[in-house]
Amino acid sequence: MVKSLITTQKLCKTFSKGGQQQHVLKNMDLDIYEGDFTVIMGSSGSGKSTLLYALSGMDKPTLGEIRFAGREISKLSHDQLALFRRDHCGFVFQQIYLLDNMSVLDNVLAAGLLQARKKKAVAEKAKELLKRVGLAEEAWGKFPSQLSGGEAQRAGIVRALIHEPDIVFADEPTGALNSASSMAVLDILTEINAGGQSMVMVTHDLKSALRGSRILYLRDGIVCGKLALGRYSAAAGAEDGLAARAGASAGGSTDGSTVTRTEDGTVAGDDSSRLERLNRFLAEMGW
Amino acid sequence: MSLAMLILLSTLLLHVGLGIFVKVDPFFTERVEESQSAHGIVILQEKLYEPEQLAYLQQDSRVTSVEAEQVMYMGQASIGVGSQSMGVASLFMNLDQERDIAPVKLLQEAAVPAEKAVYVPVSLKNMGYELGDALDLSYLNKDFQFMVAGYFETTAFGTVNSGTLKFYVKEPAYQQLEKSIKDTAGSRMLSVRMVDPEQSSQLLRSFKEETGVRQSEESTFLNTNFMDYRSMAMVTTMMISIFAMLLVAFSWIIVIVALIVIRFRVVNTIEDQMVNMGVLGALGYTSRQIKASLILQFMVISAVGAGPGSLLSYVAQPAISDLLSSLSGLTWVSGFQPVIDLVSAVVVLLLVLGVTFAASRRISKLPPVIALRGGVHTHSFRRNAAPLDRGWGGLQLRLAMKNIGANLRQNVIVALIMAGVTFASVFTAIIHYNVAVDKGALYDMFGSEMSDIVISAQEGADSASLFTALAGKEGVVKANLLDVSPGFMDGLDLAVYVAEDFDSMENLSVYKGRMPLHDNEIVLTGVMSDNVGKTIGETVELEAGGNSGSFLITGLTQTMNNGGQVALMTLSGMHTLNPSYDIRSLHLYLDDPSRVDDVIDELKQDYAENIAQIQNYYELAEMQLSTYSSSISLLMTVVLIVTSLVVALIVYLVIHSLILKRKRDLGIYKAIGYTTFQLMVQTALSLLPAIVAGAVIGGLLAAWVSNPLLSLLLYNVGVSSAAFDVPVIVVMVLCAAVVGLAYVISLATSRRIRKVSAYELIVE
Ligand SMILES: Nc1ncnc2c1ncn2[C@@H]1O[C@H](COP(=O)(O)OP(=O)(O)OP(=O)(O)O)[C@@H](O)[C@H]1O
Ligand SMILES: [Mg+2]
Repeated sequence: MVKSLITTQKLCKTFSKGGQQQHVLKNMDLDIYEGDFTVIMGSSGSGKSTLLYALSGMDKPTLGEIRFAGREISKLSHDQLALFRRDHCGFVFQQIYLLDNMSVLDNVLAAGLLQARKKKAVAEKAKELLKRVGLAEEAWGKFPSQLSGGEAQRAGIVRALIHEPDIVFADEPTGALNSASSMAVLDILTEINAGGQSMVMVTHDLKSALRGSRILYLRDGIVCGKLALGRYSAAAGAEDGLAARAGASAGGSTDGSTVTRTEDGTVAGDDSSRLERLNRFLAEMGW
Repeated sequence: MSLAMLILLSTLLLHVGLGIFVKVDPFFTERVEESQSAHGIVILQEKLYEPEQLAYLQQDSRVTSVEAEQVMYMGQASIGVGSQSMGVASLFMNLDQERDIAPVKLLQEAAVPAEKAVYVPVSLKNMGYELGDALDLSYLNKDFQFMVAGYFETTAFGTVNSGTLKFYVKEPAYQQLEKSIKDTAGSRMLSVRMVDPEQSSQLLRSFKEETGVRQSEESTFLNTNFMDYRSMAMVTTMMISIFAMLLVAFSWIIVIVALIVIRFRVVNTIEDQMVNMGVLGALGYTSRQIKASLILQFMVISAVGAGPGSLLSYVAQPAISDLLSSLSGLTWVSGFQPVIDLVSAVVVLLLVLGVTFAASRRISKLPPVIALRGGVHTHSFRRNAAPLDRGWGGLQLRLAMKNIGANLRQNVIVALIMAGVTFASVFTAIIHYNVAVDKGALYDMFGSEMSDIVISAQEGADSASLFTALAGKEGVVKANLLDVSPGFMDGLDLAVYVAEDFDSMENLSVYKGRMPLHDNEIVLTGVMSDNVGKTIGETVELEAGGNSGSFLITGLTQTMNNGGQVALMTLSGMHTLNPSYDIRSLHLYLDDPSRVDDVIDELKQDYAENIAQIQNYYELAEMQLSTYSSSISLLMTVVLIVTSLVVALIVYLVIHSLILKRKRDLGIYKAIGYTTFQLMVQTALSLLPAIVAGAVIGGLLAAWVSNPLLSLLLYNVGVSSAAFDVPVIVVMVLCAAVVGLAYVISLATSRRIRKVSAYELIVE
């Protein structure tokens, strides 16, 4: 009943540096499900970003297949990939990457108008989204350099959503933000996911990972562990926040191979154990 | 590296150009002395020559040697190869004649029968005359066939620019020429060598005064020729000077382009390394130290270009020497020019230094705190240009417009350069159009009456009855009596055009006032009016036919004849000075101009004994024009090529630096789904307004100031109120071509956006 949105088969990515070959992704078979908030974790250099950008058609894999909603995208040309991204993907970056020679609103429209030609309708939608992420009207006309990091990232999220993508990819979206801004951004992402938006997020951070409904752990170019957490709820989140410090050292014993996907709804109520389960899983993975 | 290439190219061109410039004069002097050539030349028709004239030159203390030689001189000849022919005065000399001044120096010879052989100036080789080619001479309806048997080097009459070309033929051929055209072409050439060549023009002037020989003598002043040292040098080296000027001009254009690039680079570097500079500043580096490192960096790049540029110029020397030799008809020897090396390299380096210095000034104004924040204040735009949520135009156009706002100064520079090159192109195209395509306006400015046939009556014949008979012939729609007679005004030789009725002329016209009607009226050229300091409404003294009288100026005209020294007066006016004066030349206008050659043949048959000369006037004019039109075509080609190169270079560099500067933005655009082609169009579009503005401004300006500018430039040849046609279509097509070329080049250059990847941006 849960549909797989992206499926990879024997996905490989190799970089060659000065004659030496580095296999970053190795024969990866993976599914990303519709409606999931998939979180990718792993140590630095384990290939998280590489995987994210391969899945999203930002980069081409060296070998293997990637099916996006049934369509093979690994063989597309760069321009075809650009069109693919425009139609199906939204991006949120750690460095935000707003275009700094135009206003916040225009940044959003530069993405939105690419697909839809109706200026008015797109502008209306952009304004509505900007309001939804908590950006006041005064900020719309500002240039990116006049915004705080948190504000800029909210604008970045709106840009990722404006064309109603099938899936949003986020690479450490809170990596450059302070904790208050991070929380706000995470809340927005969680809320959007709750509305049914599929999302994939790379993170280093426990608090961010906790928002995910499914955790993938990468090591040496393979997914060595998967954890189904179920949908996050706001009430449980507050509780987890308190418990996080206490449970940080408590070791878990989840076996990577035994962690399998559970039906979404069944674990949703099991919030009290979210943090514990995540901690246990990560300890298992040697995080 | 491309910057070093630019500097290399500009130093190379500057060095070669300057090197030629400073050498032109000594080069000519050297050649003249080495070949023992004349410093001054007088050619007179044999019937005007008197031994006293030779004696006068011999007794002058400024003169070291004089030589008189019989030659064939044809003021109105045309020479041709194949179907091409050009009108040029021709001087035929006997190769087998011994001479001390300017003995013949043959460069190359082929075996050709003696009675056919002609030796031509080596500059003609450049124009496509090969050994063994047929060379046709036609003069006053007589034709002679020769074959090019060799080339020679000469300092006088060696290039088309001098208006006269010298040829040598062997004894038998010379005999033949003498037999057939001696009475009209037989002339005496006086060659003079002097202590100080620079005094030759004074010598010739006093020669004219003392001997009473004037250039406007008889009605055939086309058959005399006075050549002083300066003019000889000028016409021989003119093409070299133009070539050198083009090189220098081109090198300046490249220098300017290089300087613009340097400015961009410096500004970009400052922006890119803002944070680094902030860190260095925070560590205690002074802004001067930071600046010095930047300046040093560009100086090194420039030095890397300038050095080899100077060296390369020596590698290019043999080829350039060949070219210069063929342009001047004299062997050009190049050599080591250390001063020029130094000057051209230092000039370029100093300019680079200045621009780098000026562009890096903003480092001093940059406090470390701001630098550390990446120079936030530089992005504090007041207004969000071209908002996307409203207004006209598609997304691409609006995004391009945003970039224009961000690079205003750069756009202004691009527009100015575009305006400059468009101006040059349109200006030369207008000239070309008038000289080579639609000559109507030019004929009007020529100041010659352009009829179909011009007939001169035989001496002693009854011209009046002859002309009445001719004017009444079938097919003749109009006839005008018009003759040229020598005159003297305010110490100046001038040609007086005498006619019965100026108002019926097709091309002679006044640009101010009216034509002379009464016997006390005269019209002067603008040039003549300036010379004598009198204008419409005032009276001038004119001397002609041994009498002098005063005449009222009623109008101003212009002409390229006789250096603009021309006056128009009525036959009755001329009669007040010379009662026996008789107009001996008639202009005929045909209802069917295509029949002109047939009509000429008929007239020749019917009136042979009464007609001295009969000419197809348009053909004659075309021949004379052809020498100009080919050099103007060449000039236009060069200007168009330079324009294209400059447009391509500027657009390439600007787009290139724009892409480097916007690499991050382009990455972001790609990440959110823009295709390479969309970004190419966006980038190309952002430069387009500057290009269009520049092209339009340049085009309009050229159309507008061409005539005033040409009046200024052509004043010396007699044009004081230029009225060239400005063909709107040509102007528009050229502007469109400049814009089109720029757009295509910017699109092509933008192709490197392909290489910008969204992914790189993210992983960097
Ligand atoms: N374009 C590239 N060229 C060469 N090597 C690359 C390239 N991109 C990534 N790598 C290498 O691939 C490996 C994985 O990189 P990746 O960015 O995917 O790691 P990551 O898991 O995202 O790390 P981090 O948590 O630090 O962001 C690294 O060792 C990196 O050096
Ligand atoms: Mg990463």
